[in-house]
Amino acid sequence: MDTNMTLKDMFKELFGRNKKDERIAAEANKAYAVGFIILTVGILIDFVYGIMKFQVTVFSSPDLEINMLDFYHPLEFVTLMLAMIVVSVIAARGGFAETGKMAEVEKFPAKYYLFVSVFVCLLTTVSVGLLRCFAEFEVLGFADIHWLANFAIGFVFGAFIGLVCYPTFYLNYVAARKARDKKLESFE
Amino acid sequence: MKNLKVKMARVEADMSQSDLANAVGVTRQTIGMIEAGGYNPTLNLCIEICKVLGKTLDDLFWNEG
Repeated sequence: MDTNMTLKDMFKELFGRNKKDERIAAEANKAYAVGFIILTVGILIDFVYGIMKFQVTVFSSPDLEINMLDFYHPLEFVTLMLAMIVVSVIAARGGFAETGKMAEVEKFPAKYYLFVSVFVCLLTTVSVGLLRCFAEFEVLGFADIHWLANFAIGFVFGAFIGLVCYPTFYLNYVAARKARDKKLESFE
Repeated sequence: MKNLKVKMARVEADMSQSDLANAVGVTRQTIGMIEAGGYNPTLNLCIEICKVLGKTLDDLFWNEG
């Protein structure tokens, strides 16, 4: 950047496609990736916690007139989904599918992805269970926390997500192999 | 590991770190880090540096043994 920039130069600097220092670009990418993960996890926890709190409030005071939007904001969820879709599209365009680790194996690593699915199931069980406990603590107090019931509900969520995960991994694998084969054919 | 070859070639060409940085389109810090061994440049940047300093990749970036 120059100290004697004209207005045109400044516009070009601000909005133009300037050649970026590759080291700075790589460092910035790393920083943005960490920020993206923290933000998405935070927004997801906030969103799920809002739903939990709404459920606990509705069940504990059925006569109360409650507005769902006081507990969570659909815009939050839409923004989260939009961010994830955009990231997925950019990653797919960047060739993540045909060059990722899924495309490198000849046979679907069933055991590994079963392990990952079970891990996701357990993580969801604990997360949802804990969030429900926190919600009950906030609305009803410590004495009225239904520990077992909350973790049972968490397990239902976890099992569902785990069951969805496994075939999703398989479909990803099939898509990655197809994309890889197509890419390799184009090199011939 | 320090890359003294780049530093020597740059000095031979009578260029400062800033001159080289401007010529290849990176910051002075990046050139400094390459010379100090704190950053591994991409092949494209290596080629740019070689072109500016009139050297080959072997001259600047190949370590024997």
